[in-house]
Amino acid sequence: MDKKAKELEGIIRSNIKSIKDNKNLSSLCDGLEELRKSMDSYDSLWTNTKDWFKRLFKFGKKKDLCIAQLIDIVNDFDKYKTEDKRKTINKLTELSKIKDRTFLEKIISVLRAS
Amino acid sequence: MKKVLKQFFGQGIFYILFFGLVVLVFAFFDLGFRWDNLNIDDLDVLGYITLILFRLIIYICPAIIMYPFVRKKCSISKCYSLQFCWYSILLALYNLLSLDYILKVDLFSKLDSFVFILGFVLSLIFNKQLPVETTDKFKQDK
Repeated sequence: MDKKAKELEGIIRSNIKSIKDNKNLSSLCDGLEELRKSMDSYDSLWTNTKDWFKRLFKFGKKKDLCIAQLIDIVNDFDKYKTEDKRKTINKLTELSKIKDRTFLEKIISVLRAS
Repeated sequence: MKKVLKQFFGQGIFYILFFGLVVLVFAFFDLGFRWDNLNIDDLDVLGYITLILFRLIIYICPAIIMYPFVRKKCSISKCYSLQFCWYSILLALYNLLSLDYILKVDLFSKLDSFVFILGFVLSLIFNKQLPVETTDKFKQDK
């Protein structure tokens, strides 16, 4: 992997850490936008990005804008028509619905576990 | 008779309110969403732990919390019997009102497992047969 790709990876990793600390969400979106522009040139980055998306799923609430950008990024990878890509998009879509859940729906999902 | 009914309803109100409060607290933190998305491929450890904690709190804790306040009149096994009796009443009402069809969720689906295990554990501890009943009428101490 060349120097530019490594730099981008570094940016994304540090931005992921910022998200975990609830800081600097906009720079994550900017970093991902940079990643998207370079993605076609650096095929190996796609494998790493899946791990980064997985890490994002574990965090609490997300800004809708960032999720929409993430979905666009995954959708742009037309040549990667894999089961993982479908699952990634489904998970991101589910994550974007968190804000829309009513309190009654939250109660029902807790009762389901009783 | 009056004392028995007072104990029955008094404890029952506590168990129902306790269950409701626990559900509200867990719903407030939207933990149900994390539990719905649990899967073996990418296990959400915190979600998994909170799910176990939730079941322990609603099935094991209520009678233990109540016991110190009623120990002079009621044994721990009787507290559990009352707890599960009230959970069964709540479940019967839930099914009678067909809320399982409306809300598309089964309530207290793990109740039987906990009733069996607690009855078994309590009988081992006290070294005698102690039924932990869910559907029988409340019986007085002899």
